[in-house]
Amino acid sequence: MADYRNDDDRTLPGGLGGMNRTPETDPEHLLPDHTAAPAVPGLVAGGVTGDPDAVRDEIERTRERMSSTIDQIEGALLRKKGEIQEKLDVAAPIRERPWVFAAGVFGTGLVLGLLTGGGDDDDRDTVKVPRSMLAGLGMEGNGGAGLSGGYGLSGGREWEDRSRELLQVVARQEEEIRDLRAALYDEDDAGDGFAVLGADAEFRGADALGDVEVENEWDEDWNYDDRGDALDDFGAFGVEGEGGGFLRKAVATAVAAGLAGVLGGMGKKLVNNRGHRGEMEVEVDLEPGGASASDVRVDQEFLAARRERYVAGTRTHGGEMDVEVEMERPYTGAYRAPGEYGYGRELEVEVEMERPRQYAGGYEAPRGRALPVSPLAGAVAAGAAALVGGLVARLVHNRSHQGEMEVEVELEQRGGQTGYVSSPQPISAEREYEVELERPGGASATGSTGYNPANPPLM
Amino acid sequence: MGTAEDSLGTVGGKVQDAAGGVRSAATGAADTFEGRLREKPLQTLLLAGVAGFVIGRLLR
Repeated sequence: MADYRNDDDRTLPGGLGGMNRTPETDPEHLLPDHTAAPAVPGLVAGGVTGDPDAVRDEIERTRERMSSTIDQIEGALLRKKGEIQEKLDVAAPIRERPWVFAAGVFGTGLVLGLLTGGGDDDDRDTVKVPRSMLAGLGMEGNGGAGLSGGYGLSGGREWEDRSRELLQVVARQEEEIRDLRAALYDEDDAGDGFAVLGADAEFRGADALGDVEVENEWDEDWNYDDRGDALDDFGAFGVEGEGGGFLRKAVATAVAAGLAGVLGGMGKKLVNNRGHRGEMEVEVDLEPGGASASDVRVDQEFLAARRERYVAGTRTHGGEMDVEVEMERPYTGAYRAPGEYGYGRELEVEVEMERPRQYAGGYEAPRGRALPVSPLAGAVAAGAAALVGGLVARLVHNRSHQGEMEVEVELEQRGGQTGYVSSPQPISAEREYEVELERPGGASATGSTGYNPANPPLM
Repeated sequence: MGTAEDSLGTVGGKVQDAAGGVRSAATGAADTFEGRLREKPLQTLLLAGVAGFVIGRLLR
């Protein structure tokens, strides 16, 4: 049997004392003495025996005490709950002083709104402008006068004025381009650019291209509106397909230069070899490095025979003499005979006697050796090379076009216009348009006008 | 003379009525705001802060 006398369980009767607790002495917690008699149905244990009313009264008092205690406990719990809720309610101070908190929060938001949001200065006050545009406007580096920080213009009105001026400039440029193009086609009638094609050629300028309306010749994409006239838009001006045009020019130039070089070399070779029979000029120092002249053995018999012929009056000057040179010492010069890598061997040198010794007997001085390149022959060869090169270049470049005329169009401001400063891209810059003139099919022969798409331009 | 005084009195009455209306509207709005602030203090304060921030940005 378990012994609970020394048990520290608080839940046991007597608390920490367990069964050895101090006997309860508080009269509030003491029940009236009751008998230890066994319970009998219909009887309540107690000191009052046999009196149901007394038992009921006792029960009623006990109930009241318990109700009172429960009410007290409930009240205490409610107070504690209220205190906790009040402590946890952060909105309580707000409810107490609502206007103070509202004003504080509103003021805080207002200050934050005023202080935060950096970067609006650029959006509101200044606008960044590229330096090139400022240079085009003529406003770079003027240190003020509408500039802010060197990069921006202050004020929307000024920008608006600038924009309007730029639009006017663009409009004027377009108008000038139209005028220039119209004038270009009109001047075609004069035939200045077609002189190289022959005086018989008849060109009608713009009429040859069909009915082109000058007003509508520019579309939004800044291209020539050819209305399907089989022209490659600005290809006729060398603007479109510039890469191909330049490539053709480069190839033609390279081919022409190569042919000219080949022809020039062949001509020079022919001229040089005209009276020399392919001889090689060899300079031989017969006394290298202090060697004695005894190193050279001369064909004395040949020399004697030549002397005899000269004495006899024969004119066989300019003959040849075989000289056999034996290099006894190692050669230290820069020259190395073809195929000869060892020294001390015999070296055959063919020496042409250009000016023999003057002998008696009416010797006629031989003709002097000609220049390596005859000036006349060289000039002819160079001219022929240039001619061939030019023809080749012309054939290559003008494969699909008949002729070309370079027209430099310089766009300048029309005088007397107020308020104009400049454009971002200087309009005074020259623009080169390579205008390739095409001959209308059969027009030169028949005199008919108008461009015939079915007959492509002549080569 | 009497017509002028009547007119002035009428105008004064209208002005007083308008002032009273404004005063009552302001009082009602304040009461409404205060009541709303007491009912939902956190939400109301949040709205007040946002309004202040927006006004501050607009005033920059």
